[in-house]
Amino acid sequence: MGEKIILLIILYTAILLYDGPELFETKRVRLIYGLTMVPVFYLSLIYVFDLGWPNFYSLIEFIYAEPAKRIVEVFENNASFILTMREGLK
Amino acid sequence: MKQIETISSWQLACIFLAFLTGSAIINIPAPMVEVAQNAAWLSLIFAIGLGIILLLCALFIYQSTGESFLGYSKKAIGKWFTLCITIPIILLLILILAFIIIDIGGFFTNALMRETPTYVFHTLILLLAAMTARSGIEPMARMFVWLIFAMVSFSIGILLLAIPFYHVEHLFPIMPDGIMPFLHGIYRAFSFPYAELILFSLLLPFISKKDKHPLKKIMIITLCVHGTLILIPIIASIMAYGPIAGTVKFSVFNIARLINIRDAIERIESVIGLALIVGSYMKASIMLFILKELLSDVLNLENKRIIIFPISFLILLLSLIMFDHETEFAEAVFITWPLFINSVVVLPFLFITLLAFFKKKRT
Repeated sequence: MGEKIILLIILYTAILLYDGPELFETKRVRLIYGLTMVPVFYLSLIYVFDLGWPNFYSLIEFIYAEPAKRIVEVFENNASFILTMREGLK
Repeated sequence: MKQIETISSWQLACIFLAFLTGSAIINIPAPMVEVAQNAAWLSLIFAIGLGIILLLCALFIYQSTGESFLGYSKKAIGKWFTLCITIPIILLLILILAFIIIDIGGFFTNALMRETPTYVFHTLILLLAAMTARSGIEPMARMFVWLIFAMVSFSIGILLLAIPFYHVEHLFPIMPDGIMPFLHGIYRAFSFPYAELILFSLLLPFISKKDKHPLKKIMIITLCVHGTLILIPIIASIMAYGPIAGTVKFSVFNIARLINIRDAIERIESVIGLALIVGSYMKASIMLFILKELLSDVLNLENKRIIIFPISFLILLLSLIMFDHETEFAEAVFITWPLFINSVVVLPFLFITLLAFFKKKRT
């Protein structure tokens, strides 16, 4: 965990030092930057504490995984069906 | 999308080649042979055909409206409906970037440096890609000409050195298990990398208005060159490994391991490692650049570059936490990803193309 925290401290510091001067440009930029950092904080927590909280991919998996598996099964099952038929004919 | 930077159509073609060939030259052969077996090369040719259709659609929209498909969509269906198309595409770009980074991290930890933690590779590659994307499209175009040249020459050079290990008889029979594996191969190859060329078409408006080169011809030739570059490793891996080619991960890398010329030229797989790293880096940089353009367009940002580092940080963390095991990653890439990209990118794109087509026909 210590290693992960050190990595994150280095990254947060580097990003803020690099982008810091440009953040003073307008209030809008600061707001958008801050909003972008919210998911970054969330994912940092998951990373450091190995939490099982949902991440962005969980949503994609929830929506697409099952139908996607069915599509692939159509290809695979039909292939094995054809193979079995051929073996039977032999 | 508002931009000041412009590039020539030849430079765009070079970025296009880097984008499509990028990580595919190393990653495509094994998964394609795994599903389509000896018909992998035939599946790839059909997938390239579908890719050419998508490319023609993208060029049709660009040449008839002067905008990318999302730019045209704003005019055709309105800002809010376009936003409904753009947000899923942004999420898809974040996901694909995380996949590219995981892939390269996995390659390093599996094949080159087993003891080093993956976050080292993820952080360094993403940092490099973020800095490249920040520098703009013109430096990218200039730099990638040399990198793609190096990548292609290394890969082809290795495959030529491995000629003594090829057995032409391994190429037959072409479809031992019927047509379904062949169709599965098309589905897989179309999803990666050919459906992604719709994302690349978002860069078409960066071509200089003064550029008079025949864009359509240049892009189709580039796609065919890419196709040839991908076909060669697929055929080579089938000929080298025969029926087990589908189970050999990073097959070009492993072909390089076989090479031993009079005990003088051996252990040259690190050259292929270099090609993979360069390819993935180029693809990640281009994807990050497209993501930056889309995000700054949606958020209406004047300073587009400001968004690159926070979004790269987000991608880095996602790449570190998304999957616990390699099998989960493989399932995401080969099962979930094809449906995701087809529903979020290909379908809306075809819909917008149809709109543009009917509008042009009416006028």
